[in-house]
Amino acid sequence: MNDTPALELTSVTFSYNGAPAVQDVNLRLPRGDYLAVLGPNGGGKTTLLRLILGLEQPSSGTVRVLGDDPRRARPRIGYLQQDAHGPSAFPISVLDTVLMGCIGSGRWRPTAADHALALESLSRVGMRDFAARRIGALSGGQRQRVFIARALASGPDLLLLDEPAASIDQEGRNTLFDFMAELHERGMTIVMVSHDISVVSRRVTSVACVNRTLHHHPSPEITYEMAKLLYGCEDGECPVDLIAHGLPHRVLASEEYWHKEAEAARRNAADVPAAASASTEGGDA
Amino acid sequence: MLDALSYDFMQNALAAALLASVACGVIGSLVVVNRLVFLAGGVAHTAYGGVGLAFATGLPVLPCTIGVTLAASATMARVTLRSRHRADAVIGALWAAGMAMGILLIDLTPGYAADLMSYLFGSILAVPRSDVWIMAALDVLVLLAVVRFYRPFLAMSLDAEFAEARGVPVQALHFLLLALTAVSVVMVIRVVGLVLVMALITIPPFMAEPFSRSLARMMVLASALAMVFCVVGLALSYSLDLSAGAAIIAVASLSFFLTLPVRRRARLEHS
Repeated sequence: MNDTPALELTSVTFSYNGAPAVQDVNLRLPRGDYLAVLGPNGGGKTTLLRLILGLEQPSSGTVRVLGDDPRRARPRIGYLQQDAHGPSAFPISVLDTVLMGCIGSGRWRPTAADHALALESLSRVGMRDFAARRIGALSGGQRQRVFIARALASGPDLLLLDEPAASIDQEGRNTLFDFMAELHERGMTIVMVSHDISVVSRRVTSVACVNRTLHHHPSPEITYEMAKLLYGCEDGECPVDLIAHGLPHRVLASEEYWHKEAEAARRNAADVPAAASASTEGGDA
Repeated sequence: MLDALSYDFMQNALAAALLASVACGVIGSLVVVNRLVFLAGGVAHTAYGGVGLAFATGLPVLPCTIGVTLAASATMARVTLRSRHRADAVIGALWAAGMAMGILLIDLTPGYAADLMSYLFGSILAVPRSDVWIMAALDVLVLLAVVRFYRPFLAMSLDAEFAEARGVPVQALHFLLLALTAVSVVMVIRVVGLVLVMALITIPPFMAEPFSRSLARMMVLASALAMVFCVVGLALSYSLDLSAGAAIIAVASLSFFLTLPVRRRARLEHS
């Protein structure tokens, strides 16, 4: 329906106080994609989202969102930031919280259509019955669903989620990921940031790893390059790390691929300690 | 008791107290939910520099104080936006500097030392009719601004980062909120004085919060509470011959401590 990519980052560099937080990042995300952005804490994941939202301007390079300047694209972006809990004592109802998602520059009072969409968003996350409740009375998982409803309340074309599963329990997490997958099936473009590598098994369609630089792989697999970015590990050590992190096997590229990459790395690295090679083989077995 | 109202000064005092209550309830609610109480304290104390400047230069006190306080609030707004992590230290410095400047300026002005206490602890019984009108005008100004920008203020207060991502001009609103705080603080100084201004800005909103389902209701309830404290405090001050500002704050503080046990239950029931 629309050929312009949802995201187009070209040679983007952004520095805090002279130190680059992200460097020479290139990313082209087609519409309808479900991208997981992985990376260690402090690796520049949130910076990347802030650049996409136009909250930060790149030091060099260009960011295009939905074919537009990030600031102009903002009304079409649904955003859920990290730890979106807010003060739990805040005097506001669930419905009013969701209506905040419709707010935009110069468009402050909610219309009847906004109300309808807010209630519909609450229904979609299964929180319609809680509309009149005070936000502080909800559990962490329920509140997270309300904040997702808020991100959906503007009828966005692109959904940005920063660590959406970080503060909820396992059951809530399953519900959340099922819901995301359903949204994606209905055509929503989703960018989900996580430090937890296991989200790759949650029906995402592509993966990017960011640790200052970004590596994008257009299928739900962790490549060797990504593992190096993720764990900063020496050549030949990575697979054992990944297995140790309890990663489901299917999210890794094929075993032959890992054997080949690890072998190549071992040949390249002259001074790899014997122990590391041994444990690598153990991990692959 | 009611015969007290036949005196002009009592009528003015009551009018000033009620007008100050409106500003305290509305702006105090925003200050409390934005966790800007310390900043409001800083703004309030730089107001003292304005009072000193007015005495030293012979300028009219209220406009001069408002001018200095607005300048201080703009400085603090800038500092809090630019260096968030050390904002409290800068506020502390400005707080002390404003206070010291006021005292030095009054030191250098012959003859006014006796009036100093009235700005520290308020002089509600000496509020002239003209100040009541100025306070009414400031109230209208504050209310118009808050009504006009209610939703963006709400968005910023709830979640500044999300609001910014939605295109709400969060930085401009931060400046506006501190300017409105400055105006309100100067108003309240007339009633309860500089030292006690924080009490009327923080206690009524803090008490109102668990009983309110929206920010607007919190503002209304906080204003009503402030009015009750002021009227009861004034009555006590009149009948027991106590200083009015301190009596008002005593009533507010006592109510605050007495209702603490009810707070937790209220928050659950009203949710």
